[in-house]
Amino acid sequence: MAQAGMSSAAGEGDDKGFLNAQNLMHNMKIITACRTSLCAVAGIATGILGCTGSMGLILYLITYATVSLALLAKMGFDRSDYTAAKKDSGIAGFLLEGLFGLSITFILFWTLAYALVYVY
Amino acid sequence: MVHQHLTLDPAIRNWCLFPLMVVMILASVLRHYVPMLFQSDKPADADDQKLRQTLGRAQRLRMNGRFLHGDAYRARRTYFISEEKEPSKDTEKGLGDGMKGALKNPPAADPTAAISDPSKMMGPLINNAGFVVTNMFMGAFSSYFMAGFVMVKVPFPLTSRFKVMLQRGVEISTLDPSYVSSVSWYMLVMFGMRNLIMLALGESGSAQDEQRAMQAQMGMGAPQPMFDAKKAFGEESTILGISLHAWAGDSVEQRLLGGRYPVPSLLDMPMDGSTKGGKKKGKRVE
Repeated sequence: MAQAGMSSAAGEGDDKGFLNAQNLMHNMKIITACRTSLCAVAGIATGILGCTGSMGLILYLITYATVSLALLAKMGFDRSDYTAAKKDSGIAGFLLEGLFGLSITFILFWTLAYALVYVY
Repeated sequence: MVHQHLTLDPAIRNWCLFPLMVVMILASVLRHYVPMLFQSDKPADADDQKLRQTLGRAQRLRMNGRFLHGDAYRARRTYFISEEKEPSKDTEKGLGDGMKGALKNPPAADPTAAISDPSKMMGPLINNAGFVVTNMFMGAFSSYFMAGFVMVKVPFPLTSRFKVMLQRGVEISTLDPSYVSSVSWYMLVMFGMRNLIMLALGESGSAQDEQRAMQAQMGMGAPQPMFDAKKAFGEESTILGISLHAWAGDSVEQRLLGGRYPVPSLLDMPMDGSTKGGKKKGKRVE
């Protein structure tokens, strides 16, 4: 959805790293939006599938890594152009960035869907 | 722990699970919009605004100064950054270098200003109070109306240590700790919904911020809370002092005419011709 709106934060002088702060904030907002909404959807899916325990955790990790990977692919695997990251920062940090903050959202929707389908 | 499966009454879902969630969401929305009501829209302080506009003029001079001729630019720069020492003798008093530049004379920061202004001090206080009050209200609401219900089953195993905390009000010693009561559902919704609420309300919030920034640019918005005139003036006067001035009109004929700009040797010829023609004319009249 909002991925199409991602705009390059780096200006003309790429090497010197002039950053357009507005684009940077816009990008961060889009990345957070993608991750949050996907966490909610993944939580609902996990709950409907009836996964419990570590299975749900694994599904969450897979979803999160996939979303981050998709975002990275959108950025051409070089996130220094789009985020405040350094030039040669690896992709591993991006994959699991903000994992714990969003896990509670995942757990909420996981619990909700699981309870609605299997408990009530 | 023996594996057990409970089927809960759908009435609990209808009258506890969903209402609590909806109320929490609405409370978050309320918490987001109520502080906007208390935001003061009173006009900015005149002195403060004066300082900002001085700074803005200096910045504009620095950025667009190339459209001014050298003398005009220097006069304006002097107005902004001249030092008080070494007054030049030939100018009238106050107009030469002896004048203190507009940027060199920031008013002393008034530490009592922020404190004496009640609205500035009350803003964060009201926000905090609102947060605490709504949280207390929600906590009381959930524990008063929904005490003693087994609300949901979390889909992961919990150890029996969590029973005391998560099954408050449900005193069944054999119940699987995964079945939790209203308090834990309340906590889960409170923390889990925060991200989504931010996502949903972030749009309007940022739009408002942009609008405010635009108003501030036009000089009629509320001032940003942290404006240190002394620091900003010092920085700006340093930058203005070291910035070089090149007049844009220096070689403007050449740039406008491009290839048709005459080389000096060619320039002489039509002038000669015209003078000759003038002479001829004069002869005829005679």
